[in-house]
Amino acid sequence: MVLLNVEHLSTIFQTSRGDLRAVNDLSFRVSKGETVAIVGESGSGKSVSAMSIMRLLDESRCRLSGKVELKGRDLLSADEAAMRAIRGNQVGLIFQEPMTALNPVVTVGRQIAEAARLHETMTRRQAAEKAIEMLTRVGIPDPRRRANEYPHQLSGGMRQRVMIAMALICRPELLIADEPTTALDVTVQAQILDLMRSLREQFGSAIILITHDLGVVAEMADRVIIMYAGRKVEEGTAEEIFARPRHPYTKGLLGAVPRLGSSLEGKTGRLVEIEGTVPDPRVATVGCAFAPRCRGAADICRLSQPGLVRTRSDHQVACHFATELVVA
Amino acid sequence: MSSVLEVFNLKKYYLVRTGLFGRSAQVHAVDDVSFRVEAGETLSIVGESGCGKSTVGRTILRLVEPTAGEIYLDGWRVDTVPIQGMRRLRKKLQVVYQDPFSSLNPRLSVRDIVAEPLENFGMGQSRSEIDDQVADLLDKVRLPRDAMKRLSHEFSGGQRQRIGIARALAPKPDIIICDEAVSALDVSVKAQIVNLFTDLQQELGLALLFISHDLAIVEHLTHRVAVMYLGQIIEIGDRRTMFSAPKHPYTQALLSSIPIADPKAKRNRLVLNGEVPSPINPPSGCRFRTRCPQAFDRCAVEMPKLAQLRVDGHQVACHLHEGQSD
Repeated sequence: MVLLNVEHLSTIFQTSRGDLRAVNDLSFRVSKGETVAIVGESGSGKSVSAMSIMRLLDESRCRLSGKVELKGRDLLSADEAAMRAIRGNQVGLIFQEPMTALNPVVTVGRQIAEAARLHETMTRRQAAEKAIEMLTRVGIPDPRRRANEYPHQLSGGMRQRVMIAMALICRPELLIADEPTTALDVTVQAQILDLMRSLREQFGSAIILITHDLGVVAEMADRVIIMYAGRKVEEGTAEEIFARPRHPYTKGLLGAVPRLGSSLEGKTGRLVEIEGTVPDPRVATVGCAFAPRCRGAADICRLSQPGLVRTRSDHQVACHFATELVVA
Repeated sequence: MSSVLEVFNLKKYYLVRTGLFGRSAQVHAVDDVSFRVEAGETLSIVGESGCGKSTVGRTILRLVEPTAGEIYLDGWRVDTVPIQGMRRLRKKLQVVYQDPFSSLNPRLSVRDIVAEPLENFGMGQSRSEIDDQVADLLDKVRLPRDAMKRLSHEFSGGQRQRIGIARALAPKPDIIICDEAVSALDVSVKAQIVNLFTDLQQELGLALLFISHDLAIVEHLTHRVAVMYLGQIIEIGDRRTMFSAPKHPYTQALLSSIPIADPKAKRNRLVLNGEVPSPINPPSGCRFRTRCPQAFDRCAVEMPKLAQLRVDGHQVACHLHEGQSD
């Protein structure tokens, strides 16, 4: 069952230096219970697309177009009151830096309880009990004491657990997690990923995981979307993408990451370099945005924007040479 | 081989005031750390935030004063030199920081940024002589020579990091301290800078002290690794032993926590409980014992010392391995 359907989503910021196309004609679907990773480097539009879907951008300064449907309901035309009811209730949100997402002068227990009371009718006492139950479920030791503490009294990992508790208290069908472990140390990251996996099983939530870390993607995702310069350049099942990447950018990304254990296999030669840098989104490009950095670029790449082509039933690529690459 | 950098029993304690009545307490940021870096070698210091790895780098640079210990650069004692005298030593010892946005002066041209150390250390007689050296340095870091006239803010993060590296190379140092030097960069750009460090080391015979939390990157470019936990080195040794057969339970957990970019990879993950305790009141005995799955009575009482194992100079501080030491 399709939970979220995004079609031809574009987000254009109006800046003093002209229009900035942060998200360009993005389409994808998320099914019930599925984990979809959106991968890209800074400026790829991965976070802006999530913010656009949840209507969290300042819309006096940007233009959204296309279609976003949550269980058939159009979100782009919904008013703010309707969106507020959806956020936190049907869709939970987790951000990278919990310190800026939490209120510094309210105890964490009350913040979680407040989230519960916004969406369900219950007494304060019931909400407080529910908050403590959630803190227990996300693995916070001594939850009764911790509920009375303020965000600054908690460590980074604990604050991220609080964010997750708050995002999940209404059992959302969709969880959007934007770089949820990027600011954390690896041993804490391992704990949080474990927690997200077990909560996914308990709650059956679908997850949109936005990240640049291909290791996290491989551990969590069912399906992967690779974004570059505001566009989706490749999409497939996680296994497909890691085993048979088609787009030169995806191949480059996978080759650029050193793998743990590489020295034992004698593979500490040069890493794959993708020359140059991510293009400036203010400069409108003709043709494929990756062409200036692509070793296989031909004239056609600089002249026309490649459309998405299906190379297998579960794999789409936006590259003029996608089909030839399959043969090769 | 000769040692470029030797550090003996380095300590850095900070005094902090805690609580309402301002009782003072000591943060044991670095607590009795010793290591050496040989000429042309890369030693990486790894660990999680708060383990003291950056403080080690900063004390060597004398950006913070060590509480105790001895630091030698090319055999010369660094930590007792009056701060004015550090100027001469800094020629040999350079640094590249994490954030290429805040570590370059936005008002200076790239030429002036890279030329500054050359002028400071009197490494050129005339302007044109310095310009030539700057041009050479830009070649070394693979930046176009016409970058000289431009301001640093015109460049992307990766290019700025190249400018920072050119500046660090300018006085022809023996060792560069890289403090999370590639951590802030995008994946595709990070690979470029990692390759550049490897090339430069081969070309120039530089020693690198590579401070990082990214173990996959470290494995890729290092010769030896020191693992820190709560201000102490708990394991140090060759890359091969460290990544194939880590001895300390913390190193084992740290390595197994790293997500592998392969959905089919089999994992035997050791997930640690809890988080790093406060360095204000570190646990008695072994500092890792509160999170160690294998801790036993003795760990709470006695602090394990770094001891040599029989394999190629590998050292580990853990009671579990004492039987195997010489």
